[in-house]
Amino acid sequence: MQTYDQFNNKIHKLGITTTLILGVLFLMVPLGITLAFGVSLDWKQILTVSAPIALIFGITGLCEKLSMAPVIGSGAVYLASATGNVQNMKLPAALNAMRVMDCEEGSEKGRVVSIIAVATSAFVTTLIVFTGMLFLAPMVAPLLSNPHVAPAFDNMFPALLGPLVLPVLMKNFKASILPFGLAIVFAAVLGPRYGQLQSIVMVVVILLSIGGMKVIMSRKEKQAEML
Amino acid sequence: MGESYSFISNSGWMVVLCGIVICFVMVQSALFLKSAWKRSEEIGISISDRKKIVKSSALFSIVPSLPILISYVILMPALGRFFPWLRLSVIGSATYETMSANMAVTAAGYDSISSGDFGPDTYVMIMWAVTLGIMLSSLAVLILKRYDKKLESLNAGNKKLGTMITSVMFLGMMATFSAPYLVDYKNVVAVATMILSAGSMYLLERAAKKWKSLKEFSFAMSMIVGMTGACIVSNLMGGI
Repeated sequence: MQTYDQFNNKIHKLGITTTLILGVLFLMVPLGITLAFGVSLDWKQILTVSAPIALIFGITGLCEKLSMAPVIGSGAVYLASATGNVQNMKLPAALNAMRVMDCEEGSEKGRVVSIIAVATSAFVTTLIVFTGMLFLAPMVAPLLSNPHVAPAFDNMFPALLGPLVLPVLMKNFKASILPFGLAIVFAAVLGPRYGQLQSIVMVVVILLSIGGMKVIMSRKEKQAEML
Repeated sequence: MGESYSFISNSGWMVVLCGIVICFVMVQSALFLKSAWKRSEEIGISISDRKKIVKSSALFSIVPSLPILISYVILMPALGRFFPWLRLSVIGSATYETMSANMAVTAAGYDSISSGDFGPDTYVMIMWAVTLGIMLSSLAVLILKRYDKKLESLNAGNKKLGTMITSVMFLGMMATFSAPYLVDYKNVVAVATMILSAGSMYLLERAAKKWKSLKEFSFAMSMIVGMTGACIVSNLMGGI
């Protein structure tokens, strides 16, 4: 039987290796097409166009991964990052599996369960998108875009949030007050810009909440010492 | 789609190159699953519990996968049949792909992705721009090993503090996701959706105490209740 550290190192090794290979393969698609069809490219234009996209999504991606890793584990984050649709599918799938199995955030059991959930979710999505590419998308899209049905998919994220947030609030109501309060203030102040800055706001909310909780913890410890 | 570049976007080269990447991601998922499956056995998660995780995750993933098909239909006329298949199957997200493709097209001087009247060189430029655009975000995971070690040493030094930090990270994440909906009370449909899905989750969790197998499906069922509620409320309000 392997130890926790051995398993963890194995997962990091697998994650780093496969991420690097995937990065190369991903670049091979436009590179292969450029070479196969002999397309001449304006590299200055490509870099000018891709730089702002990379910057926006790079910061968002980094914040997202740093916030998620301690909760669902690095293994699930490596896989979620490679398979995509993190916030709307992989993260909820991992959190749901952790809830089903009664796992604590960040526990070894939770990390293992999250990997199984994210991998399963990746298989399902890939299969659906594949059938979509083959024949399903042109058939299903008009139905999903129907004005009577569209609100369901326009509000999919709030529909996900309800069952995700409720157990959290019921379990940790007191501890939730500070992060929820801070996030609400940010949302009210930033207004429509909140969506673009959400990942950065997440890191700020987490850091401020940790600071606040540390102060509360040290006060409690001092009070306990005095007693 | 612009006829001028369909010989590229729907070519055999494109199918093969996109197919290789998707196959690799499936192999990657299988390798992670194999490692986690073995480890879960070692730490005492029974086979029936593992099957429960697979069943619950698979069922839950069906509904959120459907909007990806809408994004596919939006991207297909401009980017062809296979490149959107790749982009929506791995890395990124439906939102990212649509947004970044639009950003690349407009930066190249066109109105939007739906215009689709660009030449082969612009098409390949878009492919490069969206690929390079997501690389930084994708490679951000490379810092996870060091980050994990740092958190572990923090946890080893002060377990209470480590537990608190993990817990706050989770709460902060949930808070940041929900805040825009909690503030935007004028968006009645979204608020009603959240309340309905949360309410059904509460009821299903209570019922799951009696009927244990309900717990696996309560999340997916609550989400569907919320989405159905969104349709009803929106239609009752005349599509507000």
